Amino acid sequence: MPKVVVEFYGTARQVTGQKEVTIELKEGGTFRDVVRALAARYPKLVGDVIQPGGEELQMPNMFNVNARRVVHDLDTQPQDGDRILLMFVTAGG
Amino acid sequence: MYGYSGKILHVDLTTRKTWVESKPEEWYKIYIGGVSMASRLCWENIEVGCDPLSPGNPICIANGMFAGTPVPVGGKYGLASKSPLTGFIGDSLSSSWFTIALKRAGWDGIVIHGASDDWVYVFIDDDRVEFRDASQLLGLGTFQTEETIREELGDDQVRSATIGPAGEKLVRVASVTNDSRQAGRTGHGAVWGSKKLKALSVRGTHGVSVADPDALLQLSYDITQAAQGPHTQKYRILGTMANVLNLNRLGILPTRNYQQGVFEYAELISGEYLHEHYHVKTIACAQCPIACEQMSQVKDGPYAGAMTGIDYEPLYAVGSNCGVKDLRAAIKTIDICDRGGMDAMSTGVTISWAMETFERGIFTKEDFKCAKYPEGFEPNFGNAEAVVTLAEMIRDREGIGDLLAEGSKRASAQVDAERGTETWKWAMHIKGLETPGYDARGLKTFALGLAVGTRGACHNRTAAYDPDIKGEVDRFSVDETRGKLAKSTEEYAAVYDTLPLCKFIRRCFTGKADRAGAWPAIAKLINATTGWDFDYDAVDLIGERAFTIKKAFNIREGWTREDDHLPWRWMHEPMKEGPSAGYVVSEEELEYMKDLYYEAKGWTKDGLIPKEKLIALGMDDVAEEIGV
Ligand code: SF4
Repeated sequence: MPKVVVEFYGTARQVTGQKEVTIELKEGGTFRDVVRALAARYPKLVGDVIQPGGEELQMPNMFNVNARRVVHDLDTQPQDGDRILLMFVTAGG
Repeated sequence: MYGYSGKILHVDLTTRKTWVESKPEEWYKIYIGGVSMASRLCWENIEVGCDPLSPGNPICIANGMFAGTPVPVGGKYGLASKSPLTGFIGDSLSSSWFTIALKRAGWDGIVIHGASDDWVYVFIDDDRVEFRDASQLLGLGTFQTEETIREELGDDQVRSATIGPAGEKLVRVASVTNDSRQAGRTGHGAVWGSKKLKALSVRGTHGVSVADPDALLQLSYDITQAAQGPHTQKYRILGTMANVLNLNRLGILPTRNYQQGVFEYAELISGEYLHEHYHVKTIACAQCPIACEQMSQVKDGPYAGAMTGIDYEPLYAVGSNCGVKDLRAAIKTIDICDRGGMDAMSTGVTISWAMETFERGIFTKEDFKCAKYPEGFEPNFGNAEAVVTLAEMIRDREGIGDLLAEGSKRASAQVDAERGTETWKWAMHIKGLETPGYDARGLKTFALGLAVGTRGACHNRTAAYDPDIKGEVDRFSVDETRGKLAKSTEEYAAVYDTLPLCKFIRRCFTGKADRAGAWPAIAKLINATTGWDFDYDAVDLIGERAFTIKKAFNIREGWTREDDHLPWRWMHEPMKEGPSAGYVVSEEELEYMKDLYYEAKGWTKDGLIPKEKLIALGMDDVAEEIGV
C-alpha cells in the first residue's frame, strides 16, 4: 500500500497544528484520495484550504510533489514515498 | 470628467512658483493613473539625460481613479522619477490616506520641479500651496515627521509623504513613506533629499464625483464581501510572510547573499513563527477590507521595543539572505529602515554583499569601525548585530555605511576599482536595483521577467513567477513559451499598478485571478467611476501602454539590450543544494528568452520600439522621439 507524506504550510499548518502527516493510500489511490483523507482527518481544513465537499483544493492552494512538480490533475496517482507539499505562494509585500 | 479632476499641479521648488495643467480626457484614457501616469508625467517633465539627483529630475505623483471612492484597495498612488540607483525609470506605488487626501484636494497628479536652497515641506491645502520651513524636521524619522507636521498644522487630517534621515543624506536606497506605507524601491528618498524636500503634506476637503454612484457602490460591496473569504485568507492570516517556508521548500529562498536557496533556520524566521511569537496586530491600508500587514513587536532582548509591519520581501533580505535566524534582529533592522526611510530590500541585499566581501577576506574588521564599535566588527553571515549596525550606518552614512549607501552596484564598482577585485560578481542587482526574494535560478520564466524589467530587479512589476510556481511550465528549463509569458505577466501586473488596485484583490472579482476572471469586472468598475465604455480589450491595453511608456523613458535615457541582464551569480554559479540544485540561467538561455520576449512585444531584435507600434497605442509623440 503506497504511503505519502503531506507537508503543511501556512493556514494548513495553523489549522492542523502539525507540520506533516503520513497518509496510507489504497493500491491505485489518487491525489484526490489524499484530499479526501485530509478532509476526513482535519475537517477544519474544509473551507479555507479544501473546498466544501472535500474533493478539491481551494484555490490558490496546490499540491507540489517533492518540490519538483505541481499536480494539475487530482485523479493521477502519487508514487509511494512522495512528499506532497500543500502550499500556496504569494508575491508582493 | 468623472473620477478625475482633470488637473495636474506643478510646483517649482527653485522659483517657488506653482501652476496648474489641464489634461484632456483622451490623455487619461491612455495613461489612467498610478505608475503609468506618473511615468508619463516623468517623460514629459524631465531634463533628458539629467543626473537623477539634480534639479532636472522631477518628482511625479499620480493618483488613481478609485482613490477616495468605495472601490476596495483602490487607495493607491504612483510615484516616479529617474532612479538614482538605476538611471532609468523609478516607479513605485504606495497606498492609504495620503492618496485619498490628494484626491479630495482635487489633484490627479503632482509634479515637483527644481530644488530648494533650504529644507522645506510643501503643504497642499486643497488648491492652496504653501512652502514651509522644514529645518525643525531634519533628522526626524518618517513616522515622527508625519506626526510633527500634523501637530504643527494643528490638524490630524493632514496626510504627509515624508523622507527620513536616509533621504536627507541622499542614501540611494532611501524611500518615501506615508501612513507607514512605503514607496520603497528605486531610491525616491534620495531624489526628494536632493531637492531639500522633507515632506509633501496634503489636506483635502472636497468630495469625489463618479459617473454612476449606485452601480459603483454595489460592485464595491460585492468585491468587499468576496475579500473576506478564502480568496484572501493567505494574506489575512500570515500575510506575505507565508512565503518563507514555501520558498525554502522549493529551494529558492535567498540565503547568504544568494549563495544558497535553502536556509537551515527557515522555521525560525517563518511567518508561522512570527505569528506565534511577535505578531501584535494586523493592519490595513485605507480603503482596504483585506488587511495584510503583520505588525510585529520585539518584547525582549537588546532590540526590545522595535515594532513595525513585517512583509516577506524585507524579511528575506535582512533575514535568511544575511544568514540571520533571530527574528528579533530582523524586526529591529526593518524598523530602522522604515523609520530611517530606507528600502529594506536593497539595504539587506547590499549588506549581504558586504558580508560576503568580508568573508572572502576583501573587507577586514578595520573596514567596519564606527562610533558603536570603535575597533570595528566582523560581519560574518549570521551576525545579527552586524546587520542591525550596518543598517544604522547606511542610514547615517557612517563609516563603511557611506559606501553601502550607494547600493550594491556602485559600492562593488568602487571597491573593485580601488582594490582590483571582482566583488561585482556577487553584487545581486539588475540595472542597479537589488534582487527580490526568489532565487531565479529555480524560476526561469521569472528570470526573464526580472531581466527585462524597466525598473530593474522587481518582483512586483512582473508576475512571471506565477507560471513557474504554479507549474504551468517547467521552472527549471526554458522553451519557446517564455517570451509570451513574460509579456503577458508584466502587462497583467501593470494593469493593477496603473489603476492602481492592490493585486491582493485579484481573486475577489470572480474567484479566478486570470484576465478572463478579472478584466470584465474591472471594466465595470472603470465605467461606473468614469462613465467610459471600457471592455476587456481596453483594460488589457492599460498594461501594455504602462509598460511601453516606461520602456520608452528608458530608451530615451540610453537603454540598450545589454541592460537586460541578470546578476553574474545566477548565470554562472549553480545552486548547490535543495530542489533547485545544479541550475543556473545560462547566457544562451537568457539571450534566447530575450529574443522571444522582444518578438512577443512587437519590438526589434535590439529591443527598440517600432514607430507604428507606438502610434497604434496612441503614443504618437513618443513615436516621434524614440520610435524606430
Ligand atoms: S491587502 Fe495589504 S497591501 Fe493590499 S491594500 Fe490591503 S493592507 Fe494594503
